[in-house]
Amino acid sequence: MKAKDIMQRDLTSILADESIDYFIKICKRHNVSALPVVDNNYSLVGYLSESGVIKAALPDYLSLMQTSAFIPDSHQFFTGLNRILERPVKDFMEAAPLKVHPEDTVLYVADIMIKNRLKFIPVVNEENRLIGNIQRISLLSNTLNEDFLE
Amino acid sequence: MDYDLLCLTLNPSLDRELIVDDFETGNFYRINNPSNSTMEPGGKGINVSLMLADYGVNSINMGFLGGFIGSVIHDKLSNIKNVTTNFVFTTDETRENIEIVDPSKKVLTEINSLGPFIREEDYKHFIKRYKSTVSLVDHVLISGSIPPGVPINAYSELFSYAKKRGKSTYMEANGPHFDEAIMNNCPMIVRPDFRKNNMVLGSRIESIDDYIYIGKKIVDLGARLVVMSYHVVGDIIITKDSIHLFTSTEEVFSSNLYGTGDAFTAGIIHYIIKNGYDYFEAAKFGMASAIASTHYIGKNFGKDFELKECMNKFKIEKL
Repeated sequence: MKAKDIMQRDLTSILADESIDYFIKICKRHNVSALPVVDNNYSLVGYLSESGVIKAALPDYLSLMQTSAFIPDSHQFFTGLNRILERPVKDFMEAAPLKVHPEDTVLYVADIMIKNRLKFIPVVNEENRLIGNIQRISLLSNTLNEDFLE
Repeated sequence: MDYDLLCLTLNPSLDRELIVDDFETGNFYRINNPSNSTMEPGGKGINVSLMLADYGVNSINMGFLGGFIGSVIHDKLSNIKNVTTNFVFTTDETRENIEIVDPSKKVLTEINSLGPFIREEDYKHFIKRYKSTVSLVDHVLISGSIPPGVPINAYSELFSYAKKRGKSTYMEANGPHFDEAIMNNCPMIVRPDFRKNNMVLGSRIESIDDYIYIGKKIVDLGARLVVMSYHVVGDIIITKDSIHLFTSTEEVFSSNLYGTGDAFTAGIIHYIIKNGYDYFEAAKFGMASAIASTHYIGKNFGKDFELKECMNKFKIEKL
């Protein structure tokens, strides 16, 4: 089974100059935890996830620590989040995003998603244009399928 | 290009079809057969995209979706081969269209709701995504109604952008947003939708002369082909050089008329994508597609052999 067999043919994405505020709205309404960032030709230029936004909203020194147990109080987080709401996506996106191609095997996709703890990965064509996405849940639900490993 | 066509349905719907024999208002009906109660994504552009998907035409669907109904449409569409989704989600709920088909009396009853209110911020985001998406296709179809909150000149602006980039443009709609687009940025192929009202550019279209007058006017404004449904079984076809009336020679039941207009548009687009810009031949293929679709109760484009058969099931008169 290949990436193209389990991907959602959906181009939901955000442009690099749009705000963090709108990123949160799209994720909430679409029920996704991350979005591909594209340019005017749908070329993939970045990736932003909920955790990317959370990290950006926290004081810098906390990003050095591995656990959120060090956050003094959530007030600090919400103040930080409010400060970045109007900032553009490009300031916080992952500029060299992980991605897969439609002909990649599902095992390869699973490997990348699990190793990098991704809930969502963009699928691009040979010209690096966004053509869809794979969510971790569709990977899991497809393991129930008999020809998953073929 | 990975895609052939961009289909814009600004105000999609979840189409719920109930088949009820001897339907009358005020009565209680229970549907025991699940196939007599179906739901599927709808709206003119989506219908065309779905009809063409079976024929290998790869399309992107754009518009506004929202809420629970929006998610149902999104999930159903993004699992269909040759269909890609690119909708902007709003906070309000997407509309539903309810059709009650009565096969015994051969009558169709329709109940349509209005659709979500589109906020300015979502419209601006939609425009950005539209402009990027136009770069991925050669053909752009914009059809159907506009939801509340979308400006009246929306279609005109959207066509203006696509035309400047050399895209082939198609429109099936009616109302002030349709008139505005015709007047200012007339698309290549126009199909006025007369189901709800027969006013076009301020004129009421009743007699055959009214049809010819308005069709020629739309051609003068820049259209290469105008197709107008005439008295259920006929269609008036106007190009720069000719005016024709196509009339079905097959009996057509009104309960099977749902989606025939969209099948006509799908047929025209299918012909042009595969064979190029012979507008009159495209219209003939559209007519065959529309007739083939009446062989089915639901939305269906008809099989390849049916389309070929239906090329001989209408007569062509020069007007």
